[in-house]
Amino acid sequence: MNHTNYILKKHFYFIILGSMIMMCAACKPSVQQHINIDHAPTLYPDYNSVTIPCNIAPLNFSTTAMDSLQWIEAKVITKDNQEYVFEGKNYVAFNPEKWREILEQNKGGELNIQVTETKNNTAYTYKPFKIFVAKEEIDPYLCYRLITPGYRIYSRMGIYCRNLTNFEQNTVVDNRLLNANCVNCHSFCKGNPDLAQFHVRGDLGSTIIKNGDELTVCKAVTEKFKLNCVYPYWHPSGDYIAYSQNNTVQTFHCGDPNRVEVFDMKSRVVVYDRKNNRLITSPELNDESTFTTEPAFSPDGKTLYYTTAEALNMDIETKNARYNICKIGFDAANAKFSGIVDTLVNVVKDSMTAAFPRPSYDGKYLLYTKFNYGQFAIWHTEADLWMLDLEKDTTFPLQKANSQDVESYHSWSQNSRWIVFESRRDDGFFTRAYIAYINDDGTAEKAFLLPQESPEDNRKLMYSFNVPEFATSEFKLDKGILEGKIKSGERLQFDY
Amino acid sequence: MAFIKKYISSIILGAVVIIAILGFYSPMYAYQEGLQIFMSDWEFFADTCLRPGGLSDYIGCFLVQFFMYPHWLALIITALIVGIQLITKSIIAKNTNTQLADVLSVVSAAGVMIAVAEFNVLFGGCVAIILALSAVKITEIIKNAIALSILTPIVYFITGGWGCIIYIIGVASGYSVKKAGLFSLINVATLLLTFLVVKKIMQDDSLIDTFVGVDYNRYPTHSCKVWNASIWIIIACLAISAFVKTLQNRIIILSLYSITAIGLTATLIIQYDSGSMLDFTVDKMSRYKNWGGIINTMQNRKSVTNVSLCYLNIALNELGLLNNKMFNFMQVGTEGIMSQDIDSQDKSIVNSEIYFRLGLMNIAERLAIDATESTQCHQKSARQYKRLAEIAIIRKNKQLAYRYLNKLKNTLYYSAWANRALEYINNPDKVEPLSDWKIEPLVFEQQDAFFTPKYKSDFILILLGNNPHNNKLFNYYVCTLLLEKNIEKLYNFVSQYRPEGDLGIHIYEAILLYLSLNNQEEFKKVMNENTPLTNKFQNFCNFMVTGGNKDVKKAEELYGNTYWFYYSFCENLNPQSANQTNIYAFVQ
Repeated sequence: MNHTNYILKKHFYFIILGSMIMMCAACKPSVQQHINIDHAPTLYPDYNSVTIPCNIAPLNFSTTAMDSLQWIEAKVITKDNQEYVFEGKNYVAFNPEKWREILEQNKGGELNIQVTETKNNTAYTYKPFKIFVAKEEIDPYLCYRLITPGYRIYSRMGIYCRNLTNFEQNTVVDNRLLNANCVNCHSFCKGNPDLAQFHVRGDLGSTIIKNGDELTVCKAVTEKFKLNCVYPYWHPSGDYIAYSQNNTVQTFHCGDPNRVEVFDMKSRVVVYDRKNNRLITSPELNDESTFTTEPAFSPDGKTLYYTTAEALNMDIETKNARYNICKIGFDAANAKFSGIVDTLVNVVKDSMTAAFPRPSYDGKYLLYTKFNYGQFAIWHTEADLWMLDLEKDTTFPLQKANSQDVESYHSWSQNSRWIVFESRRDDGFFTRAYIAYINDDGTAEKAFLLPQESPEDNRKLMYSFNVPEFATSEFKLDKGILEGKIKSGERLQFDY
Repeated sequence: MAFIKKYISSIILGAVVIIAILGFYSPMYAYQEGLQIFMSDWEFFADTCLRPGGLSDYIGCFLVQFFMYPHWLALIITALIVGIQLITKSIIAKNTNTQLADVLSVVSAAGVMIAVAEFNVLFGGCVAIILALSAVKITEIIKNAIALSILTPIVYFITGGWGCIIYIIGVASGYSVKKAGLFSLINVATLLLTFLVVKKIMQDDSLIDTFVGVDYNRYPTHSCKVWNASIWIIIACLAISAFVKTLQNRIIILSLYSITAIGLTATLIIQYDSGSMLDFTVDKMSRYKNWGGIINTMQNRKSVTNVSLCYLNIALNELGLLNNKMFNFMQVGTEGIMSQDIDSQDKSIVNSEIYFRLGLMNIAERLAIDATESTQCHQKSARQYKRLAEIAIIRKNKQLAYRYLNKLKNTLYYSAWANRALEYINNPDKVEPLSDWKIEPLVFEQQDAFFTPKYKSDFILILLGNNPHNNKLFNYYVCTLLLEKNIEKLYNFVSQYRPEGDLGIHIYEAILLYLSLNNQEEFKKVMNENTPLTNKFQNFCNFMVTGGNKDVKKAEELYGNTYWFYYSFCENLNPQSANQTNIYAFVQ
């Protein structure tokens, strides 16, 4: 992944690309033979039978024979039998304006796409595959961290904001700005990046809260709670941020293909009251006999969801740590908890564990990750997305969205129709962002990979996507002010 | 003859550089080659160049590719240093007399030589210096004040902020004080304006880092004093030439040469770390699997490092010699067979190699990535991409292998290997795999384990428990016990599992020692066999009780290639081991 400013690079590439296109147009190979294939092609990325929003960027794709292609052509056939042809040397590059037009005209419908690939001067025409176009739009931005799939040591990383309607990606904060400190855990209030927070870890360690143009640099570690605030989730009012506080350890499997194990030696849940600058908690959330973590507020702000497990000696009982999803009432007006805990999802009885409960914004569903043990799903290949129907109190896996590899860290779009999550399904190592449509009944359609300008960009990128979060507008920071404030050393100390 | 007289300082400087590089420093540069990558695609060019100093970094990455070859290395660095000296001389000679120009240019080049010899300095930094000086030279041709101002942002973008400062001072030094002041003001203003525009567009870097541009510092969290000093030396020399128009005094000139020569030599000597060079030497050999070469290099060494010992023990194990020859070499304990400290880059690299050779792929992979991430410079690391590709190939993870191989395909040095690997993974039945691709990963059907190198032998025992027929692991296990001086555990292990075949002379030495300390009955039985080993042990014991335990030198001379010497005289790492002073009393 290049960390260069997208706009500068785009202009730089424009000249190169323009020249290359002209050259490529002259390079379309002559076809000596045509062969019809009676099945759909194996696409890269796999966009066969996916459901996409009507405002998504073009799904440029190729086939698995990308490296040996001389030419590829896609004929898009719409519901009213209009045909559009797009082509390219190694991949199909949809014209963005035409693509938008096609999607707009085919909302709620489907596109049939017939692919012809040319290899060794032979054209192979495949059976068409479908792409379904949903009526509902997706939030226009997606924010994520890009980080090497490393372990104890990291160098370059940053938080980025991608426009989902095109391929533009801007840097929110690159850790070069901050003495190569770690930046992580960006989170927005109801997807609004004008009310956001993220952490910095390292010698400039702090928690940054953004309120419009104002940046507040905070110190979350208190004398009472000697742990830092970690996983955040905003209260819908914007007046509170729920955090977990974790003493986390990372260790490495010698043989397990899951490679890494991350677990808590200690954890609790607290809520930061922004108006009064203080951390609050309750005995149920701060109990030495339990590990309590990964909080999330309900969309009405009256309930706090979280995961909890029996506290164990994790040095020897790592594989026995299993978390359920619970909820506790929260009174925002008085900054108090109800004290009544309810177990929503009991997976421990099935010797499983759950992580990252995330309610939909319409209040109907709770999305979570289920896997064998622990609370850090991203290194568990068996981790899958599951849904709790809050009205019917039933749970089910998102079968069409899940894969043979890990699915984890998910978030909802504001209209509760789209989810984005991380998956290692491409190569078992680098995580990528996948988007899936959620039906009325809470089931998911087949997920599709975040589209890139060239499918090759996915292979070239040597960074993993981390913490993908939808945003309703572009997440921007004044980097000069951010740098100045963080490096000044001044911190707003959280009270308890 | 006239040519030699004219360029004598350049010739001597070039000779010094060649001697320093070929004679002493070349292993360091070969190691540096593995830390970086140069790819021939447009994306790498754009990624690297689209920031201040980027083009210098790009050229530096290109040249570093050749650092694996000592002669190319010497040629490149000599050309750089002598080139800097000649260009600086040419610039200064316009302001002052030839002798002063010559000595100041030698001082400047000497400063850069010291920076080049510092591991922490990226080679692109030195390229930036020569490009900045070349830009100064170009201004002599242009001779147009406005054009000079246009060149400033270009120089800034090509060489970075410090390179641009050299350029501004260099241009100013060629003019009268008044004009120099004016031009400097204009150029500094142009530089500041450019810097602000760049900062506005490319906000990713901090304020200072945007000015500096590419930080030619391998570990930016540490300051790069040496490179900064070399910049200031050049700036000072250029400034001096503006004010000192002539210097004919031979004594002063000769003194300056002498001080420069002494300073350069002394700094190169002080900077030279023989331990690190040894590490780099054996590291390079390991990349070519030159196990015999590693063994020869480590022969008869009086001082070793943990890293070099780790490579030695890998080499011995690969050749099946570990249990028989290990103590023919100086051993310093378990850190010489596998390090528990894996936070540093060199330890990550060598331990990745250890675990790769043993088949522990998870950990080899993890450490390869740690080694990559431990350098914060922009483009890295071809060597680790190769290792990661190998691990992916061994694990038959085609998609992951593609990712690394597609990077390596665009390199000069690794592309042939990458293409071969791609052929293999696309046609495994038709293409013969390289030997490393046939390494069998360890299995963990019995019990998986977390990676706990601090538990040394206990950790290896878990690996061995899952892979009982793995000879390499077995050798590592027993040799770790030997290094820990845990001969009781060794004896119990060997007694319990009774492995077949020759265990290796050092194991028998340790068993004999153990019996002598703990089981007199058994010991006497063995001693009665009257073998060369038992006779040697008898002699050793007699030697020790007759004052030999106080004569390390003599002991080493007679018994230095035995485990008994290590056990008796090397640092006691196992608190449970017997008291060394009295252990041989029983033989009397």
